[in-house]
Amino acid sequence: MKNKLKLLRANKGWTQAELAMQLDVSRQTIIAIEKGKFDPSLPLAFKAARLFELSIEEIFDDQDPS
Amino acid sequence: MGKLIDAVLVKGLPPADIKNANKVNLWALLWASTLIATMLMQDAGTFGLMDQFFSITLAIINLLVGVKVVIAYRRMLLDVDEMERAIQYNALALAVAAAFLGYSASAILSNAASVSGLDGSAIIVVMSVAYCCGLVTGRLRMS
Repeated sequence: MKNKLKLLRANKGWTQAELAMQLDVSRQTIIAIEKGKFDPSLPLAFKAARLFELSIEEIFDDQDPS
Repeated sequence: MGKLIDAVLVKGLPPADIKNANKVNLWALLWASTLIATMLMQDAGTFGLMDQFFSITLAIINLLVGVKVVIAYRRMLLDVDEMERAIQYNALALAVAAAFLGYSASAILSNAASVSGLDGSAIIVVMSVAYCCGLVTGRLRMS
């Protein structure tokens, strides 16, 4: 699943570790989500949406890139 | 190589998760120690005439320590970071699959009298190796 987490994090000037701490996950999880290797659970997606004050659809895109 | 080392050492997990994982490891070590000690003492005939009594006592101790391993592992799974939890579930599935396939394959070969069937300790080893491989490959895949 594609997402804009990296871009949003960069806009806020946060490191991966800082974002991980705010979302209460490991830095490895943030790295995997940003690379699109791991799809977050619904509670984590909601948490990220609240943190960036956006809707889930504005952060995560489930459209097939092909 | 660095990624492999990071995967083995579980680099980046929060301190609380590492503490829980260490608890599981310590209980598992104690469980394995009680199992090996009991087997060695039985083989050496340490218990003499009281063999049955001590064997049952040590089996109960081993069982209780085993239950503590399961409880500690369950707690770790509930508290752990969600990506690590997914990796753990995949590794557990791989371990169960390896046990099923290993046992069925050995049963077929044993039936054909080619080799002797896998015993219980071999199944534990197969499951443990498959579980460890599952953890490392899962972490490498996500890194």
